[in-house]
Amino acid sequence: MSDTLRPGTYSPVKHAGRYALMCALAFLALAPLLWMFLSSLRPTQEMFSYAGSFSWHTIWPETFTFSNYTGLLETGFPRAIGNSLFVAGVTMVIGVLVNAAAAFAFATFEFRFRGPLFLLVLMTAMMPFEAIVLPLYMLVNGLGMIDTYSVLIVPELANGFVILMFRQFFAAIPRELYEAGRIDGASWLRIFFFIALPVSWPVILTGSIMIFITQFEAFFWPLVAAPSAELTVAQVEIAKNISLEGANWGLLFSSMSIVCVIAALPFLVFQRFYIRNVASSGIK
Amino acid sequence: MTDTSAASSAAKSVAKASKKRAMLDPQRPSWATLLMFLLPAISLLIVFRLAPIAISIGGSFSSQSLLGETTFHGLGNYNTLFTDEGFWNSVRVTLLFNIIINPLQIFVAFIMALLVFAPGRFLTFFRVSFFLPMTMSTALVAVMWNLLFDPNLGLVNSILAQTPLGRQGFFFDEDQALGAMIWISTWKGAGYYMIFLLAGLFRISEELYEAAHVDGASPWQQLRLITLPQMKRTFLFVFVADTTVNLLFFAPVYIITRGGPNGSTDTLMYRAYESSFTFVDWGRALSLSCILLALVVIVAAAQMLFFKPGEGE
Amino acid sequence: MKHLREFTFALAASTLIAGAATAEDAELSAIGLSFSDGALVSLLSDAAANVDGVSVETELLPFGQLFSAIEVRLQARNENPDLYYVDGPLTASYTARGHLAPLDDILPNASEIYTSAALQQGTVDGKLMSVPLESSTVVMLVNNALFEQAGIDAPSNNPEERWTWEQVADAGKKISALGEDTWGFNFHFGDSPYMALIMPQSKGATLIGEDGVTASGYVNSPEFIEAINVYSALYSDGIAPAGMYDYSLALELFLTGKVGMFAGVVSDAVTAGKRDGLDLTVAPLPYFAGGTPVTPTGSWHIGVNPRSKNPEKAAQLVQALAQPDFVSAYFGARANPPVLKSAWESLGDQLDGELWTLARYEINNTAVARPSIGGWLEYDSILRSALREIQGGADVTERLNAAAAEMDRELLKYKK
Repeated sequence: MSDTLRPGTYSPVKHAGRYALMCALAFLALAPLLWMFLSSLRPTQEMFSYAGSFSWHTIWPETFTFSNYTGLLETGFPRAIGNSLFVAGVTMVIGVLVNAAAAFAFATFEFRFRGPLFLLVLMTAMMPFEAIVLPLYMLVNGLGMIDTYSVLIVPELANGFVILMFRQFFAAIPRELYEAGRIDGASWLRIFFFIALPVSWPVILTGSIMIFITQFEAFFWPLVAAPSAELTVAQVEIAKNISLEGANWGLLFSSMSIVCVIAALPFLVFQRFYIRNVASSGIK
Repeated sequence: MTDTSAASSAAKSVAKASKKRAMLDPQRPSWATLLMFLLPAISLLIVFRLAPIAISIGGSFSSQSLLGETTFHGLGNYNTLFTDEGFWNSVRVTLLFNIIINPLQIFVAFIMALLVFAPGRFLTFFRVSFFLPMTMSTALVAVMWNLLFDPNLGLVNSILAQTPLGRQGFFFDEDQALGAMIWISTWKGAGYYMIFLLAGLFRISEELYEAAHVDGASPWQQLRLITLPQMKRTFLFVFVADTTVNLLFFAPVYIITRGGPNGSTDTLMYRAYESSFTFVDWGRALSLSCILLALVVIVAAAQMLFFKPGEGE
Repeated sequence: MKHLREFTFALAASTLIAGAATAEDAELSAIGLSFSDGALVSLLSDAAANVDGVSVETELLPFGQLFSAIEVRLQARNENPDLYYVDGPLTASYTARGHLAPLDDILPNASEIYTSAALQQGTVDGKLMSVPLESSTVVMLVNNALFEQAGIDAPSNNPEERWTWEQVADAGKKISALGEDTWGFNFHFGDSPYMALIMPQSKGATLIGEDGVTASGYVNSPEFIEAINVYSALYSDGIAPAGMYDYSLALELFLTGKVGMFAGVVSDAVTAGKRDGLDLTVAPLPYFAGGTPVTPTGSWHIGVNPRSKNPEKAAQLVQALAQPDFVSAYFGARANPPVLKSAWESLGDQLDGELWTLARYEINNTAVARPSIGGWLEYDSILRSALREIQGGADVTERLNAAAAEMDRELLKYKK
């Protein structure tokens, strides 16, 4: 929205400033990840040989090897990536609907106890997870869900913060928009699916990323609730490279690099839709 | 035209006709409709969150014997906490951490969002770059920065050693440890909050800017008079979510400093974690968690009052 | 509530890929440590194959989360898991909290077959509560090249010629002086009581009161303080690098040739032996002149959940884990000192050489296990924090007084 981008008010100074700032921020964000990636291409022997005092090889590997990546194939890592993708993907698809529906109700309808109920919903996201892990574990154990995909997915479907996020955006949709539908006799379900959701697509995508990332990062809960080898998720598999006797640096860095790229995929795809005006004329 | 603006212009045309009706007919759906929307999420939250939370709150008023028998302990756990000097140090550390990190993180995130919002070249690259740190779990971020900041083998220190600054202690230095925590947390989190702010920016009607432009408003005035007020709802969400995460901050503390040096990173949540898993004192751990919950709720409520949308927003 | 449950089940069913076990034979569940790419799974399965009607499903946990994840399972106080990994010194804690079943009847000959250092950690109040799987001992790895550069004679492999801490400090200063990024000495686990406690123990300090809950007067006794002052001097004199709490990096610093003497576990010696260009001597750990030589030992054990639904089968599996076959297979996956006396003979050819001869000597003569107290986890954690502050320059007496007071408070719950 900034004025610099409007045709006719183009200012080269502002433009250069914007890109300089973006480059600086991108450097800060990427440099550590780049170091990690380059380290994943080093043989174990070399991993920290140049680390003490700075030289060209502190950053750039002396010998390049892909063995840390091929080595991953012999571990549980590929399976774990599949598990994480499955769990995060399913949670994302169902979770967006479940949370958006609730958020729509909170944003649009007026009903008794709406305020207190919403506060309770928020509270569910505010209790430290470590404080509820024990009762939650006993509960899912009682439900016979231990060591299944469902124990990784079902408790994570509804999320107080995702509901808050959706509610904030739905609340901003002018009510008049729904009135048209009401006059035509459409049900609220129709209005939700055909009016509210379509005008909220940046928010739907954002919510999807939010759920996906949360699930992809999940660590302690999968460890406690679904620890068998077939169900191991990526974060747990990565952590297994750090042991008391010493870390397996090569596999640690290569698996971290891969997870980083995979977890960014939904954002990479979805962010293309965060475009408007001039550039977005092609997208309907 | 995007869907948003198409829809909003459509809305405007019906708005006039239905305005009176809308005021008279508040949106009160039937119970069946209400349940259809709310039941899935609410029932899941009750079973998997509220029930365990209720149990934990109850647990904070009880004490457990070594063999697991629970007895009612009243406010005993809380009393013990309040007379513990270490607890008050943790309160200080947690508040100091939050007073600095929340505004900082959101400020950086907002700058990022503004930078990558306006059309331009290579935006995909910059957006993904800013977002990429978020794809690492907090635990792995801690592991990585601990390696980078290591006094002897860390990359950052091997570079600093070449400069007049010399090697720094970072996590090992009492005066720098909390700052280093703030740094790694901002490094990871800023790009995440950027995506919500970005979505918020897209929601603002282009016409508002056009009108302002015609009136000759400067970019700064546009930001102050249009963008910021229009972003209130988004900011509320971002502030509430970010503050919660940061009030409950502990994984890097557990992995790197264990509360040290000299208590300088001993956050409340780390203390709660240590109480449950090292000192196996669940009564104390749960009362700490409940205090944290209360703190988060109070701060969130304050933020809601602060960001309450005014009339017509 | 009923509706909610149905709803949950419906959701669960829609995403569930069931992994139901066949119920003919008993399937035991075990929780273990993840190492050597999941080697434990097949080790336990192979052991179970020798027991009729028993199979075992093993869950592996990364070391960093082993204790907290096990804690959640145990606190639920149900029949899972049947067996789980127990870090030796935690045996007393789990016993006090009712998480371990006694094993004396299962292994009546334990005291004959196991090395005493390993067995000691599994025994609480005279009862065998957890069975050792592997032991550990610590040696001092010496980088000969750095000694040569500094022009000093390196310590030898002979336990009779064991260095004193004074000798370590003298040589360490000279090696540290070689360069800004060179260090005379380092511990692998520098902030860990497992290693650091050998110093007060060598001075003759007692670590905790007879009652197992009194730390004041022990953790801050004159001998303890005197010994930790020497520990503190290692860091303040620049002999050892302070702040290396990432154990992997501490090992890496030695492997990259920047440390003259390195107190490391046996597997460190094996790792270091594989590095090119590292000329090593494996020397015994130092002691205090006038004191006794003490080396740390600790072992990983396995214990049986007293709430297990299959106590007999679990017992049979435990018996299988005490067989020499299992112990040698285990050694193949993880080269730590074996816990069976007989294995030292049967593995003979693999346990030759200066490293294992020394390790065996230390385990039989100088190894002292950590105290068997219910509150070991608390003791360990509080002392660890104190050691970190001391590395950072905190006053030793002051810091140990504070640690003792905190321990007294936290250990109170174990008072009988």
